[in-house]
Amino acid sequence: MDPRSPAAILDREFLDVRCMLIETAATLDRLDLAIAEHGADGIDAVRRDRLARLRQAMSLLAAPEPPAAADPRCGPAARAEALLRLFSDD
Amino acid sequence: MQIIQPHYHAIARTAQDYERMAMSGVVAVAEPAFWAGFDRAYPETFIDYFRQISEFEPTRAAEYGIRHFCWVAVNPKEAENPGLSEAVIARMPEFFAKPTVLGVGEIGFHKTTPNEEAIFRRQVAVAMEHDQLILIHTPHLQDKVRGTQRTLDVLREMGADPDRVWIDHVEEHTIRPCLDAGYWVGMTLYPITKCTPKRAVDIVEMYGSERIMINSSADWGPSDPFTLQACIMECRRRGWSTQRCVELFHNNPARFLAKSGKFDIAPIEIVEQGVGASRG
Repeated sequence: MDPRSPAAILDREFLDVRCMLIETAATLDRLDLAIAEHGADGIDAVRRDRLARLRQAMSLLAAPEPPAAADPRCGPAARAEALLRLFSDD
Repeated sequence: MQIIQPHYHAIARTAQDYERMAMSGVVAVAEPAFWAGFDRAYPETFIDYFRQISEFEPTRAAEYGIRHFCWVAVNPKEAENPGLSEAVIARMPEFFAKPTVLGVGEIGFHKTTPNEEAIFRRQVAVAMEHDQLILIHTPHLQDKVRGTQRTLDVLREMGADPDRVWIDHVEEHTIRPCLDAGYWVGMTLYPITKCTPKRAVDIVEMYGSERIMINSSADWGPSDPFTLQACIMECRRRGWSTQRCVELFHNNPARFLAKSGKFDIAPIEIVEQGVGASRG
């Protein structure tokens, strides 16, 4: 099988992506549990902004239409670049 | 496969790194001057640091058959102490004469402050005056876009030759303007921040490998020099030929660093022989 075919990429990456998503889910569960136990008072504006950006990032990944690449060399979608810009200050 | 590790902070690592790198194909490392994890108080501390990386560290690497080269500079964090920075910069030219010093780096921005820019400009000017290569550090996280853009503005204003400048730590959102302006770029593989091996290969497959180098920038923080080998493994899993890997992980750094006039490891072209010839 061509190692760059869609099937090969899915076969090769499925378990890695599954692991990363479960890690993310578990982290959010941990955060919710901490808020339930300790309250949200310690989450100041900076931390709220970080959490909001994380939620935006997850929404962006779940959107049916991915962000389009600005450069034709990058193919049809540019999720990684969009997330990096989301986490940038400018 | 022979590998050049073009950004590696040897003084923060143990000899076991050298041993394992040698066993996994690394033939040369280049060590930029960087932040020690705390702000140094005396110019003399820098001078001894430059002596360490230009005189002592090559001997430590040589015990494992690895060539060691280095860069000298005041890093962006300590540029916030202009007096100290100026005193160090005044002593840098005496190191340019050493046989393993490749140029001025890593310099650039951390938080893109006025002090950082002033010291960045001073070091670019010194490098240009002494015909030295330049290695640029770009900010790590949320400041990367702004810092990279300001870097490009300053280099353009000062008339630096893009073919003698390497802008490091680029990622998906900063690589394009650097390549389009003609600079060499580096992608740094870190376990958490900066780039990962798989993303680096994605980026090379998008833009091609011309003027791109990959490094691990292993230092005293969470880092791993063998992310470079992980990246090579990812290339091979995607069906890259050995020559294509050699171009990215050996020949590109060899070509750029050779512009110093001191780095003398030549690019490699693999000649595959037939079965009969190999039995010869």
